[in-house]
Amino acid sequence: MNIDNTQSQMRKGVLEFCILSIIKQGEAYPSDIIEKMKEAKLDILEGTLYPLLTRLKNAELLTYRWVESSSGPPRKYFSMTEKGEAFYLDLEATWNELANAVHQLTQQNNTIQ
Amino acid sequence: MKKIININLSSRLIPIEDSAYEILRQYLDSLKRYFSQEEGAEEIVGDIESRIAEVFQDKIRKGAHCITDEDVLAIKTSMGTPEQFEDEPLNSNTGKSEPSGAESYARYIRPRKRFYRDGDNKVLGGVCSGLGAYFNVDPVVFRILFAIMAIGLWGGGILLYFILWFATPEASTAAEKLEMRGERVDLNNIKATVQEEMNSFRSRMEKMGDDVKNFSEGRGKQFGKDAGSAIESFFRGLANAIAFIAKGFFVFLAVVLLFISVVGLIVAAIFSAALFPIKDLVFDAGTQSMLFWPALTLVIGIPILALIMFLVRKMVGIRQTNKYAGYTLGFLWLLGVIFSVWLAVSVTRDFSAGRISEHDDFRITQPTSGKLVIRKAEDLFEMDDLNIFDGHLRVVDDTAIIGDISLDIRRSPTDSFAVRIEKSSRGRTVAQAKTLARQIQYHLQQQDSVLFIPSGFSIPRNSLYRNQRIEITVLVPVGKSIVVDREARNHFHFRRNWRNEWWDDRDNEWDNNDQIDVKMNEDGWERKVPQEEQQQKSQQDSLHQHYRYKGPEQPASTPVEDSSEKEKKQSGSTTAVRLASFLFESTFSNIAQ
Repeated sequence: MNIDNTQSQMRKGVLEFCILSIIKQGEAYPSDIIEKMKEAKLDILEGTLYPLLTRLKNAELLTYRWVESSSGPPRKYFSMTEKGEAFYLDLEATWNELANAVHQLTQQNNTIQ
Repeated sequence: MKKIININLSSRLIPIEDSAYEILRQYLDSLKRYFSQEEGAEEIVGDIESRIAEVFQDKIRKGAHCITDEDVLAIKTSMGTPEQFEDEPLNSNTGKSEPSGAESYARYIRPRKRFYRDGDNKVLGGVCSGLGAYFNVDPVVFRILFAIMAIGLWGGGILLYFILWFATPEASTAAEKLEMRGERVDLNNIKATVQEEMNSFRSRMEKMGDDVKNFSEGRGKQFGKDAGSAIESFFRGLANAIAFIAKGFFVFLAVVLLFISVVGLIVAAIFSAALFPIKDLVFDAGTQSMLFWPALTLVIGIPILALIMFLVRKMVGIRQTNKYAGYTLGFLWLLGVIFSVWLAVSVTRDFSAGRISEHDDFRITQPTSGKLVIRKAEDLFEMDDLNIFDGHLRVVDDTAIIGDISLDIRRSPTDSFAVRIEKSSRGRTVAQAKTLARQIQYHLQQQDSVLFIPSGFSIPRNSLYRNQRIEITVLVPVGKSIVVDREARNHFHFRRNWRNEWWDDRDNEWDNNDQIDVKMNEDGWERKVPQEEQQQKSQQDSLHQHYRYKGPEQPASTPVEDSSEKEKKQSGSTTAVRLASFLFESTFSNIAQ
């Protein structure tokens, strides 16, 4: 059993949820998302963020618009669609369930020891 | 000192160092390849490019003169390389579980797999490790296989190894290493590859269609959207058709090339097999024999080798060419051509000394009937299986037999028959030609009035073929006759003064009888016509006077055509064969001389 593999599996589901939650708070530019993730000590490579955003956009969970920037050409700002909102709520519910379950189980573990 | 170039990255002007540009280009290429299977690949790479451009422009604005290697490396670190994406969790399609990092990673590289040499795990050239990576098998298997082939196929394994070594590049960049490992080759992947190519082709054509649409709309609304979409769909259809035809053509070309290479190999094998027995006869023991094999191998082998290499490349899908291999092959082939020319010049010079003759008189017993019969001796010498040098040369076990014998029949100055044999040869020097002429073994035999002439003569096996030839002169006294057997007439080469006689014309159909019987008169030859023929002749004498004669150009075929239809039908086919053989013989003997 590869520990890295397990860790990345764990992170995988969570990251999508985190990115969606950042965008839910308001329109976001990819480098803003990276910044916020870094603040939360959840490092992600920019190179992996772009494909993910594109994938979410293609799944019609996200949409974007071009916003003129002070420093040159326009930037893509992502925001959430209605479908995305629903998707996010589902994820949130699952997360809460999971977090509770995991918390409860790990607590039990701790008490046994 | 570094050169600075300006690039347009995502519509932004970026001054960048030459070396930094190279790193950036490779990096973007690797990303493009990595994302190429992803839906919206262009968009992803476009976003990344745009982000990189933004960062770079920020740097410039803050006072940097240009983008340096360090800047590019920094952005590479923050963006991540395809190798790093492998470890990142976000890069797999949502909902599908990935058993291992390598597997999930394999989804995103192109389904195409290429054969590269694996320099990281090499023992000699990395061919076996590359094969191992390609077929997903432990390279040791291939190493053992090559070792077995090297011993079992007379070094064939070694040759194959070197061909593969030269024909394939080493996987040096990360992208190439990805391609080397590739994906398992199965039907789905093949389908995916084809679809991918079709898609990219279609999208290009769609763009073209869009351009056409934009153009038509910009020029005036009269075309309208209908026309635009009609053109678009037309281009789309055209694109599909072109892609289909192009693929078909490529496969066809590959098959044709394969076929040509196989035929070439067979021809080369036959050619060398045919040359083998006479090689020692034609080439002397020194330089020529030494030159022969290298010249033959290089001139024929190099193009075949090049073709095999080309096919190997096509089959494993290598695009880039190894130009050093090309130069090496070209040089070797040129060397082969030089050897061949050298050999040809050398051999030609061996024939350069003029024809040197040796005379030899055959003591003939005068035939009592006053009629000398010439016949071909009964021997096993038949020349029709392997025609080399106009069918005159043949190698049997320890001797070489040459069939180049000519007959000259003339009027004798004395009142008795005489036979003279002239052996002649060419050579590099007069002395050599003389020796070779003397070496010829040739013996006539006489039984009563019949003179048996052997159909060929032999030279020692270790001797050289330098166009040795025998000419037999038969002198016929006035008032005596000579009979030439038909078999002898067909086998031996008769001199001009005999051939020009109308009755010796091979195209003539008078010769149903099996011999020519002529008498030497004071004023030339006179043919003794057999009884029946004489009767026919007397009937058609008037016709004969008009047609019969004499020049070599005019075929004297008329008498027979008139004589009888039945006769003509019987001999028609043999005449055609004789005509053909006559034409061939005269053509080739002209060339040979």
